Formats: sequence, structure tokens, C-alpha cells
Amino acid sequence: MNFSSRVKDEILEVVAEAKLDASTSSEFKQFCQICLDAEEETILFNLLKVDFLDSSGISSLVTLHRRLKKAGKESAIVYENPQIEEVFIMTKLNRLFTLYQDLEEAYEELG
Amino acid sequence: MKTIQAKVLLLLILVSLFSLGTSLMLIHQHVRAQVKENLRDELDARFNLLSILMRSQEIALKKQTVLLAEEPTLKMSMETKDQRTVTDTMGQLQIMLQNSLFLTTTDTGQLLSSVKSDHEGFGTDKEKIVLEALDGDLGADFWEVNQKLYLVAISPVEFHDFIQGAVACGFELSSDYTKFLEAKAGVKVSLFVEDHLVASSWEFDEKDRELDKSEMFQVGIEQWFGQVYELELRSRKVQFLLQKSYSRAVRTLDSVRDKLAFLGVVIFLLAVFISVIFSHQLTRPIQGLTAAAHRLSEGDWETEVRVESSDELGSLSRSFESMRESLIRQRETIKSTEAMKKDLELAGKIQQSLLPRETPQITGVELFGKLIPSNQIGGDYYGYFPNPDGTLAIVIADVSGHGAASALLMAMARSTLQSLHGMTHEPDKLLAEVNRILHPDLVEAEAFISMFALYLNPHDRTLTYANAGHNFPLLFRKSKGLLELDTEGMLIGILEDVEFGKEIIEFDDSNLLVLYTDGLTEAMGKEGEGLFGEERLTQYLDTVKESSANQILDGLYDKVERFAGELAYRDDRTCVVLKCHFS
Repeated sequence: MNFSSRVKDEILEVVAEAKLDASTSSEFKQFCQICLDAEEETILFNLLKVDFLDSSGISSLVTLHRRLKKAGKESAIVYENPQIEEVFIMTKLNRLFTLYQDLEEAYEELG
Repeated sequence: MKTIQAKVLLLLILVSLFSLGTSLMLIHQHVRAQVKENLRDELDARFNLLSILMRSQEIALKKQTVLLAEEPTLKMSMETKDQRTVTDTMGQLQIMLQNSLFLTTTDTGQLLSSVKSDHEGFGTDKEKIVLEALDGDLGADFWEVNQKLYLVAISPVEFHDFIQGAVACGFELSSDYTKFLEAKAGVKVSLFVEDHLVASSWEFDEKDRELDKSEMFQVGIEQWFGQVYELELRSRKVQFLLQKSYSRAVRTLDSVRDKLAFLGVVIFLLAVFISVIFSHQLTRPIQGLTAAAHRLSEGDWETEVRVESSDELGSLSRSFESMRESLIRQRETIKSTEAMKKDLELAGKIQQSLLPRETPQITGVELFGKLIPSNQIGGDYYGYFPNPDGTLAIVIADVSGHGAASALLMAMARSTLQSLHGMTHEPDKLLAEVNRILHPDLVEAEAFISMFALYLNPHDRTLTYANAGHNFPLLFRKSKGLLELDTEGMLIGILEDVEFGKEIIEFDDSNLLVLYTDGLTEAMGKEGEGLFGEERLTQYLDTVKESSANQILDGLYDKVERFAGELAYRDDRTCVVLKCHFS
């Protein structure tokens, strides 16, 4: 599993690839420690290249959301895959997370 | 180990013995061949010395004879041919000169005098002496007189310019003389004239024998090497047999050989001794390691393996020691893993006991539930809560993650549900209360629970439900088809205060309701065909919806396991199948 990060328009973007499940979620959480350490106040989780999200992945996103909120930071998720869409709807997390399906739109809104 | 040591040692001994034996044999053969050559060379050198010695004696004898011939008394007495006077003069001179032979002859060869020797013996030679003297040849000669050999010099005696006669002067080449030669040359000397022994420096008793150039002689138990040299003076040829002990030379060499052999054996024994020590030192650590390995196999793990050495064996021993320590650690790990496994098994049993032990019996309702944890314990849950009024509450839940932590949270959730049982008949209120109670602990544990609760009322044939982010249960009604059961809400443990939606459904004559957790729909296909998915689930249920609840449940698990194989066991799988028939 590859994770990367970049900073653009004072937004820290974390890019995940392939899948967020039991096999990758703890590594993802560990990688995302940079979000808490970073100066940027806004974090965007880019899941555009993620095609599978299970309850472990959800758990890591919820945990990160909580931690960032506690640290006074704002977070959002950009995704595309319908399976992820289903999961967000089913778990009602679409109510919790700020979700986008387009990267440019996300930057516009967050910026 | 001992066998290897013995084999190496035996090989070493054999090789050493072979080398030692071969070396000694070669030395022995080479030396034997050299002995005769060396003796021959030595005798040649000795003879050269002797011939120089004799030559100088010959010259001295000649000079002496010339001086004698010049003696006036002798000259005068010879002129008078007065035998008596000549003999007297000769006698005095002989005492003075200490030579053993003197004789004089007249110019006609008549013997005038002879001193010491038996003059009869000269009869045949007198004329020759005179003639030689007259010829002025003053050479020396070997004379054999009465089987005795003499070295003789001859000189003419002149008086008043006339040769009056001749004088011969010489000495016997006696055994004393040969002893003198032996003393000078260091070899046994025997003199032969025409193969006849005339004098010898030792008790060489082969008086008459044909002499070869060189040969071996057996004297007593000793072997002697002899070499014949010839010296010729005018009329005679004298053979010198020089001899030196072959046995002694061989003995000397043999003693050298024996010393070498002794030294060889000593070195060999020393080598064997050192080899034994060395091989013992070499094999001791190996034996130590073998013993340690044996102890390990016997179950003694505690004895340390220590070989203090900087070589490969030391390194091997250190590796062995680290292996032993690692084995001990592994054993501890295995022990603790086994203990943990037992704990897990026990926890699994306890968890199973938290699930419904019996299914409530309601007329027209078939109800079957099944939970298979991914490990011994899991984070899934389902429960039946029958009420005295004949209604039934059913809850299915899935704690995020799986394993021990999830199992503990699941137990908490179950207790909460138990405690809330009977306090409300409204699923939305139940979920809101559960969320309120569990929220702090779930936040602390960084976990959440998806939960679905329903109330089944067989009296008015209604189903009331609320969903907290759980997989939508599937309801098949004969007349209305498929419905996914969802309401407003949120996963349990995300938000502190959640208001859940509530839906009421009216049952048909024939209804099939399936509640499940994501372990079933997210099972990965073993052939890479992705997730089992809700579509496959719906399709399956659609084909079997007329079957009994029990068959549907078992059939679903079979289907998922066939689809995912081993991959099916990665998550907890829970399913509750409810069939209601109302007539």
C-alpha cells in the first residue's frame, strides 16, 4: 500500500491508493500522524484511487476525523468509487464527514 | 566423534610410518651403494700417499748408496779385493746407516761381502748388479731374497778412474715396514710379489692368491674391502693390497641410519602425541556441542554452551548458544501462545454463551441465527429478546475490527442491551440509549458499532426497526418484493447524541428477512472475482426464498465458503434468517 502527501493552497492532501481495509488501515493511521504534526489546518484525504473501503478503513477514517477535530483541524474526504459511496451511506458517515467527489471542487470549497 | 578422531589419527600414523619407512629405506640403499665408492676413493688417495712416501724413501736410499760408494775406505778395500776389510767396513757403515742390506761385488760380479743377509741368495743377481752399476743406472729396485722383499739402491764404486765394483744398499720390506706404512696411511697394507704375499701389516693370511683389482675379503666376522695397486721398479713388480674395513664403514652408516630411525620414531611419537592432544582439543568442543545438542533433545534447555575460542568452533559454539537462547525464547513464546490460545478458546466459549441459547417459539415464525468468528472470538453479535406480550426484539451488531478488543466491546454492548431489555419497545430509542451509554467507551477505544434493532409483533403482523449504520437487512415480501431496511441514524459511538429514525413495515402472508454482517458480503473471492457482495446475496436469497429458514442459512454459509475458500475466515460472519408465515 502506498501513501503520499502534498501541500497545496495551505491544504495538506493525503493520497491513499488501492484499498483501505484491515491489511492497510493501521499503516494508514500511522502515516496520517503527519496530519496532526503539520502546520496546515485543513486536511484532505484523497481516496480517488481507493476502490475498497471496509469497516477497518472506516474505523481509521473515523479515528482520524476525531483526532483532527480534537486538534482543532478541519478534514474532508474526496472519493469516487461507488462501493465507498455505499459504505458512507450505509454507515451514515456521510453525515459526519465532509465528502467530495471531485478534487478541484474540494480545493475550491476548502480554500 | 571418537570414530572420526580415531580414523584421523590412524591415517596420520599410517602416513607417517610409510614416509618414515620409505625415507629410511631410500637412505639405506643409497648409502650402501656409496660405501664401496667411498672406500675405493679413500684407498686411491691412501695409495697416492704411500707411493709418494716410498718414492722419497727410494730417493733417500739412492743418495745414501752414492755416498757409500764414495767412501774411501770402501774404495780402497775393494781395490784390494780384501773380503775381510770390505766386510768390516760394511759392518761399520751398516751400524752407522742402519740399513738392513749391504753387499758389494767386484767388477766381475764376484760377491765380496754381504751384511745381514744370507749372501747365498744373491748368487743369481750379482752379475746383474754389477752390470747395472757399470751402466751407470743408479735406479732402485725391488729384490726378493729368500722370500723376503727389499727395496734396494745400487751404485758403482770407482777408484783411480776404474770401476772397482758396485755396492747395493737397501732395506727389507718387512711386516714392520708395512706396519709403518699402515701407521702413515691408516689402511691395512699387504705386499705381494707375483700373487705371493711377502709382508703384511696385519694377520692377513691369504699368502697365495690371485688378486683382482678390487674385492671383498671375509676376515672372521668382518668384511674388508681391498684394492690392488702396482708399483714397478726395474726388474720387479710389487703389488700393494690396501684394505679397509667395509663392515666398519657400514656399521658407521648403519649407526647413522639407526640414529635417524630413532630420531624419526621420536618425532613420529611426538607428532602422534601432539596430534592426540590437538585432535582432543579439536574434538572436545565438538563433543561439547554434541552433548549440548543431546541435552537439548532430552529437554535440558538450561545448560549453557561455552567454547572459548576465536576459531570457527568458537563461532559455531556462539551460534549454537544463540540458537539455544532463541529456542528458549521460542519455547516461552509457544507456551504463552498456547496459554493465549487456551484463553481465546475459553473466551470464545464464553462469547458463544452470550449468543441466544434457544430460539423463541412463535407461531408462524422460523428463526435461525449463526455466528462464525474469524478467530475463536469476534466482534459480531446477534440476540433475541422475547417479551412476555409475545413480541420479539432482535438485534444484530458488528463492532469495528475483530478479535479480543472487539469481543470485549461486543460483550459490553450485549450487557447494555440486556439491561435495556423490556424498558422500551421502540428500536430507535433502544439504539439511541445504547449509543448514549457506550459512546464514551467506544471513543476511548477508537471503535464503533454498527447495529440494527427490530421489534416483531406477530399480533398485528408489523415489523418496527431502526438502523445504526449497519448493513441493510433484506426483506422479501411475497407481494411487494425486496426491501432494504434503512433508517436515519449513525454508527454507535461516533456522536454523543444521535436521534434515530424508525420505520414500521407490515408483513405480507409470506416474508423472508435476512440480517447479516459485512463478513459475509465482504468475503473475497478466492479466484480474484472481488467481493461476494450484496448482489450475489440478493440473487441467492431470491432463488431460495421458498426454502426453510434453516436451509437458507446453511446454504448461504456454504455458498460464501465455496466462493471465498480460506479467505472467508478473515472476518466474523453472522447471519439471522427469519421467515414469517401468516394465514
